[in-house]
Amino acid sequence: MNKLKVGALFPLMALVVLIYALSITMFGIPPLGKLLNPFIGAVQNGNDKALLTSFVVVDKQELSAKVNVFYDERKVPHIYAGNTSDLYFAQGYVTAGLRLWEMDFMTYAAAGRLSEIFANGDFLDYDRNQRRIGVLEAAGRTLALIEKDTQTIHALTAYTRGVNAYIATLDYKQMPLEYKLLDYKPEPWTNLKSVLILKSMANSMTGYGEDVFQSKMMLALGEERFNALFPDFNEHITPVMDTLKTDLKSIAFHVKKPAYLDYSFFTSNSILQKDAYNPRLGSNSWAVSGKKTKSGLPMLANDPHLNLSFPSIWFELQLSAPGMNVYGVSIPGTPAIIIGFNEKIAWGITNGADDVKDWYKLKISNDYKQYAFDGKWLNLKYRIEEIKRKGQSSFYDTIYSTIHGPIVMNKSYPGQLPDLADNSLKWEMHNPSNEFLTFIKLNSAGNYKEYKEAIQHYACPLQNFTFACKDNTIAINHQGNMAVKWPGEGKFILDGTTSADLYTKYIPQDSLPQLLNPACGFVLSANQHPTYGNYPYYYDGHYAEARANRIGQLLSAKDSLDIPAMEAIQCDNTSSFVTEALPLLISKVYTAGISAEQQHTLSLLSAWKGNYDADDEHAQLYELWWKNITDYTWDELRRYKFFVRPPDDYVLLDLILKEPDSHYFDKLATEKKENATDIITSAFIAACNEYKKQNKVKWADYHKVNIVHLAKLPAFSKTGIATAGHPDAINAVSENWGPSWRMIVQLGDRPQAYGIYPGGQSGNPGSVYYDNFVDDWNKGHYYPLHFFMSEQEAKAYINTLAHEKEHH
Amino acid sequence: MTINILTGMVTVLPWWSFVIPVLLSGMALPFLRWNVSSFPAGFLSGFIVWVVANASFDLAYNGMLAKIGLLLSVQKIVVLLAAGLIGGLLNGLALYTGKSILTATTTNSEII
Repeated sequence: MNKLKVGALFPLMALVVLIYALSITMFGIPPLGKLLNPFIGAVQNGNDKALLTSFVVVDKQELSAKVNVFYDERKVPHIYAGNTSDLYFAQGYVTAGLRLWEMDFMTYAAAGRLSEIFANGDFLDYDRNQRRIGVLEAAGRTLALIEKDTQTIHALTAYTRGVNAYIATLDYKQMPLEYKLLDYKPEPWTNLKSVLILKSMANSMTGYGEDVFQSKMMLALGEERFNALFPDFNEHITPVMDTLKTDLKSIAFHVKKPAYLDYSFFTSNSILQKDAYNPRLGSNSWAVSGKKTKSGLPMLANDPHLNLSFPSIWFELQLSAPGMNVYGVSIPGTPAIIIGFNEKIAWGITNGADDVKDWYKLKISNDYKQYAFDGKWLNLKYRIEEIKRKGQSSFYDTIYSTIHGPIVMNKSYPGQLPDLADNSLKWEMHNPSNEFLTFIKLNSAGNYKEYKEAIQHYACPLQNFTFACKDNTIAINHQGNMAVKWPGEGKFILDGTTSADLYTKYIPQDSLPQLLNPACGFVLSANQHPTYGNYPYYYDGHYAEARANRIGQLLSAKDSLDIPAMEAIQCDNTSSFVTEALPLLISKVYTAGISAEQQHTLSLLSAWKGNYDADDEHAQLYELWWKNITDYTWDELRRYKFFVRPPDDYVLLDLILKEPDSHYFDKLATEKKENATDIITSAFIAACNEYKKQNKVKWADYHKVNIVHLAKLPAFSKTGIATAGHPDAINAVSENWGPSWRMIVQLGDRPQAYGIYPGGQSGNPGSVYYDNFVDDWNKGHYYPLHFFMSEQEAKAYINTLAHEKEHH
Repeated sequence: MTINILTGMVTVLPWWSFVIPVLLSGMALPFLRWNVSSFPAGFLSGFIVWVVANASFDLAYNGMLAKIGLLLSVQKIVVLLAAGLIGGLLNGLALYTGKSILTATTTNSEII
């Protein structure tokens, strides 16, 4: 013992302190001792070897038999199991193997638990908001409902076990890089986490709202002018269900100003923040019957538009078990395939874009314990949510709720919209529903009847399901829980003190907008109005028309469509709004009032076909011109502090066409009383001048798309990608969203399919398979999808791949 | 076995367990009568191992160090040097501590 010297204590302590310091996150820098350790740290995440195997046998004790997984050249797994339990287990295992961090992180974000990962209180407000809007709570209630359905709970549980089996194989060396950087570990997967992901999708698809904006606009403009500027319908629509067409004048959907709506409803006159939700998230989908195809076989196309991220929201795979053989994309964290096809059918989905989220203004007692409802005082319910924080004690948030739903913003949490303080939120997303069952059933559906049985379980978000069957049936269904509302209900803040404003009934499923084998031979959806204005039920939403108009035009005009033709439509860069508007605008320019150079520019522009191609040289000039026209016309509305957006482009187009002397064209700042011609001309002159200064030529010089890593790490993102397209074109790409998956399927004895997404199968930033699809996606290329009809086929294909590699 | 601990291949042990064999080697130095300055020797070997190993893995696999550098807003070489510094410090301290345990007060003037 006396051999141990005290002088050794100093360096020993230094060593201990150093080890400690290198094991923790300091000043935002991850534990460098682990991260920079060459044997287990970040450099090891560059090891792609695990992915280079093309055949893996999953052999775990929870399985009833071994599961074979074949990886093709793009690392799409083709899973062959002996029963559906093993199949979903393997799906969980395989998906976790490539995307564990992504699915885990999405659940933290959805549940409002980012404070557990990011220190320094950066995300406390975000987490509080997530808890208050009720995503986690809704997920809990939905899980309770799902547990009563044996088919779903078996699938979920098997998937969960598969994910956990994968997590059990990990040590620090193999952990996904983001865990090393953010200094945390993967937690065990649960069924609740799968449900959270589903609810999170519903959140992003239906979160957008304009209730405050429209309420204030109604008050400011009055009924007549509000209905004129913000109508629920216009004449430029190609609805999902295009039967019952009638002309607009015979429709009585004039929205009244609700009697209770006056300025005392609002507590503040503040600027309305830009909504965190993107109303443009939507998609395109259409199906064409064999009548209109070259092969005589039906075809289906779908491209969902979502925020583009690394890793991609979609994960491509094939699932095969006795009685089931399906290919498509899944969302990591949830079982089954969400968009895809099997041997008999193909299906696609687009966002319904209906308003299923409403706010109710409450009258609350002074002691904040009760609220008035139908003349009585009811008790406010409340729950306490614990928000755990890294390196700090937990934060406890008290969330009150009423019969309508939770109170999101109040004194303790002012949030982004002070006008919504002490308002309750009623949101379809809050209601328990089992959308999983829809997809599980669709995966093995074989005809229209089974398709209808599958989608009847679908509640939120309302989606347009497109369907094609190899027997040449095509159909489209605007499906989900669509409330029965009185005209205008839901557009404005509602009166929370009366049951008259609280809708409780839903439109019966058979009355929902739908089509089956229409005479024209095609069905389409692109987030447009589900019906014409004479549908017997009132609804409102955030619809977009230009893409549906264009798809309708193209599909009507063409017969004998084939796969290249479908691809061309899906990647079409033309805005049907421009094709309608441009000739009118050109005709309105007062040519005597512009210079010779500008006249020349105008004549060049008049030849433009509205195509936002990457190398197009007119698009940007038009964009500037139209923006000026919009700004000059709506200058009255821009004065309002609550201004969020101008009236729809089609409203302005109609105004130019039908009321060119309207007072809206008069610019307030000038003495002269302008009309449409003056505005259009001066807008053109200003646009020409701005365009000259900008000094770039091609559309792709201006138009960029960003694919951002989920944790917003710039090193793992791809930003500033020059790209074609426009939000109004079928190829709707912009900023950080766009076609997150492009798929074309031709059914028949053997389905032929093509697809691509901007990302890669691996979520590991150190893998070559992280972003290898992006360039091809940007160029409008498609990959042939390998749909194997049997395990032997899969095996044979993988063997030929291996053979080719050897002989390379 | 020692190699496995040194290279982090025994996964149940914490990342710093390579320090233990090094410490023990430090204790063995006086017995072997290797009159080597423990801290510089340890530092140099640790530095070299961490830098060379990181660089070779970086080259053999898909290079991650440049991306880590981007994240920390530094060049890749800084990342490598930082790794070397860490490896060197840990190794040097461990070796020195080991030697000191048996020799610290016997020669107070031992130059390190």
